[in-house]
Amino acid sequence: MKKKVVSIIMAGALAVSALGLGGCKKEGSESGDAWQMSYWIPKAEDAKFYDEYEENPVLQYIEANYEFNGKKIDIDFFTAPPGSEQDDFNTLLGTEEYCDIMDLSMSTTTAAELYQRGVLQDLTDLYKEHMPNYTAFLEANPDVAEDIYSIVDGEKKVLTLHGIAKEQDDPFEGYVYRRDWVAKYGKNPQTGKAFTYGFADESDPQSWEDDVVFPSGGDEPIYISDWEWMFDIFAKAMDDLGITDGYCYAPYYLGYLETGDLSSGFGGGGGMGIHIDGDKVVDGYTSDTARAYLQCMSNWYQKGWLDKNFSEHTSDMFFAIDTEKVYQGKVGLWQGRPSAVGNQLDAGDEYTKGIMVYGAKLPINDVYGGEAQKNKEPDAYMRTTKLGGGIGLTNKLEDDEVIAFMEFVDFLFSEEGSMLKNYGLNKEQYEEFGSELYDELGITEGNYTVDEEGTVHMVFSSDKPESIAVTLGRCIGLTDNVNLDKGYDRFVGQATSAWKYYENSAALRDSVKRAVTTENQKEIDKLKANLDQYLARTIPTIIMGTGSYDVNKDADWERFVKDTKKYGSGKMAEYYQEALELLYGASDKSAVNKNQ
Amino acid sequence: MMEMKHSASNVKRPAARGTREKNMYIKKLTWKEDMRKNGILYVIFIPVLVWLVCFHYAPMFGILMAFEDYSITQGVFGSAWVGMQNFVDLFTGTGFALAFRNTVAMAILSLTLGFFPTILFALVLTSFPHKRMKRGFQLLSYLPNFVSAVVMCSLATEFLSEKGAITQFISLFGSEAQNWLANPDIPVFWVIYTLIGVWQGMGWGSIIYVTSINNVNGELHEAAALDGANRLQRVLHVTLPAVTPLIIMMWTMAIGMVFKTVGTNILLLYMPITYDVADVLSTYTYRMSFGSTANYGLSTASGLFQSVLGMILLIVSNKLGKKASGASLF
Repeated sequence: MKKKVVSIIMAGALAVSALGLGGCKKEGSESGDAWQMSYWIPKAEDAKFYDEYEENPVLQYIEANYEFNGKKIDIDFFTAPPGSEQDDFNTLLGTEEYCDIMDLSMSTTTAAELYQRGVLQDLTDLYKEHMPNYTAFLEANPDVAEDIYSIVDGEKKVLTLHGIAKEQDDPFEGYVYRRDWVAKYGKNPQTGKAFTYGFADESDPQSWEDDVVFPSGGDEPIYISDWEWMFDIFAKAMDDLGITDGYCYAPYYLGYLETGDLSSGFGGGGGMGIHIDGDKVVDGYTSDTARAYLQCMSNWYQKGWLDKNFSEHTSDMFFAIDTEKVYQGKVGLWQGRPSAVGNQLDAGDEYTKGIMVYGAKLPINDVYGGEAQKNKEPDAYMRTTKLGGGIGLTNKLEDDEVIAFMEFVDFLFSEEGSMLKNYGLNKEQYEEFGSELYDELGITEGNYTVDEEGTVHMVFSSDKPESIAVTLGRCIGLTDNVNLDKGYDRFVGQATSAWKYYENSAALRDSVKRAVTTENQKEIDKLKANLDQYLARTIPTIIMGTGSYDVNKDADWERFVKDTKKYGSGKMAEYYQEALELLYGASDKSAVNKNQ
Repeated sequence: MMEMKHSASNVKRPAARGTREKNMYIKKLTWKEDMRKNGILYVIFIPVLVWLVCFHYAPMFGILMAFEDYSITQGVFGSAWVGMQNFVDLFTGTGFALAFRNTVAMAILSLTLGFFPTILFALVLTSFPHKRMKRGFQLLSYLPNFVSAVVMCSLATEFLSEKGAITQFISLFGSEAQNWLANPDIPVFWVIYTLIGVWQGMGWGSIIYVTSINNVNGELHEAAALDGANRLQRVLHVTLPAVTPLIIMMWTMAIGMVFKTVGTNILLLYMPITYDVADVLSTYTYRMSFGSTANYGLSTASGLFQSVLGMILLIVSNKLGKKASGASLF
């Protein structure tokens, strides 16, 4: 009998839990004293901080202390199981069990399509009325303002709300090089004398000094010729150290990056890929820029400067470079992160002892291609945009609830709200409200202080998980890191400045992608799938000289252009051009160039 | 499996007679009587039936997606009907022909080079005189089957890298040290893939043969030995004929499944530089369907295409098997 009862209870619990898995169900009281809403986000914080995002101390503070549309707000957050974010999003949408508010970063369809299917609400007329801070910010930043629109049947509509940053975030990585090798094995190109270099204080890795001068005359590499000068030095260094399996430069495993990146220094226009040049969308795959870039890569490969196995490093999820050799100290220049700069890679062994890594700007081509490909500043780089991912308000929200939520988001665009969102609770707020998490993490004086110069100092630096957990990073709002002390040391500061030196003006912005019609998007997807496969097969062989195209022969290059166009690279550019014109209209193309 | 064993050549007649008797017996019962008599068996069968319907028949409804521009938000009934367009996109995509060629090539290798080592291994194992060592070898041979594909492929990648153990060994014979997985020459990748499959599945796959060989009537071996047959002759003339129906059944099933199974590890082993030789239908479909946006219609069309091919191969191989040995699956 006992067993039967236990079995029935367990079966019942299983059934109840199975029912509970069916999407976003609001929890909490229905007393009517607060707006109850459900909000789907793809990712929450580490469980060591809290299990549900509604336990976030800043959110709890706002929910307890502020009213929106006449009442308090009570948001239940729903999060996807790690690794199944897109599946979860699609399941919710497919079963119509989606939340009141949906983060659209995992959406495989456009906001316009979701609106046409009746999932999302049209906020075009509402946001100006109920979101004064948001509206004011957009008016003050016209470069961002155009990006909030979606195009539905040729008409601009606001279907999504976005988090926006006052300034672009610093790049999370960029080119870095072995400054110590340049200093030790190089000679002053003007005087022919050896450089002086070293740590002024052997125990202080921040005390590095050198008098390195590059052929372009400055103390940092600016041009491709500077890079090639460095590569000669790297080769000499590797010879001297007896490194037989090292190399000068580790390119991305396909040999190029669609975001432009290095190739955009070969004549601008975004390098390889579809990019914006002025008010035109350009097929960069077949441009002269692409040819000059590939000529350079091919030359470097033939000279042995490139990682000869570059096309085999497919397992790294970002740039697929040979990290093993980088950390062994056998690579001269690579795409690295702040954790690689300065003396941080010093493992005390023969190849890394005394290492000094500096960040480098994207180089300007002054060697390859025609005049149009030389001496142009790079204009596409993997920099974040000011406009963050969008969220959609679904048809499950009543009109009053829509207004309440818009006011909530708008509050996070106010000075007070954005301080809370970005920096968490200050001393007074903490003392007034309290927070178990703050207590656990030892944040007993509030999470930040502001000094006399207006610089914000946080207890944990902004990239630490603790910092993310005690602020309101998962909710959209105004991201204001302008006055934040980021805690960079001398070398991270140098590298970060170098990486963000050039503006990203040529990348195809998200708003243009969103403006593509559903039909055209389907065509683009088909073309892109085929084109990607073709290029993935072809580009490495062009660089290695093992394929049927010799980039230095005009006839071969023309054949490559013709073959690539067959896969629809030009057609894709046309579709995006159509979208761009829909978005900006014929009379207002001035904003196109104001990419962030 | 057991029924198949009974239908082997040496016991063919009794099994056939048994079937006739069974049929006659069934005819004598009405369904009510049958229910009364075997009701408990039907009750036991219900969960299996539910599982079969839920997980094997109901999902077939999704085949419709192959003919639709499927959208998650619109569902199967709301999505636009596009007829054969997904198939056109699939077959006209760049790389389809190569992927199809590679699939067929690797399938043939799997059914030959990849299939028979299992039988050989089972024969060797059953001939092994020392029981403890035999069990030890058997256990070791099962291990790769229980290791995840990711780990297996990582090990293979290491062994076959420029400085890997296998590469070093091959270099002893004068071959240039290289990353063998990056070698785009035919048939390097195909053979590597097949051998990895053998490594992974040989031990586990041999279980059924070992069992079958152990059940071969010992008197037949005794008689052959008395007639002067040596060990090899006994294997060739007693053991192999006894397990031939099983081999044909396993081979028939392998043929039916070959389009589904070729490609399981390839995603972990290939790279753009070897697409020309390593890309198979499943990896090609994966890239085509799940690029910047998911194309469920295309992936369903590809799945359907592979299933139909598998079905045709299964029927043909079953017929051939029946003709060759008299044993068949259906």
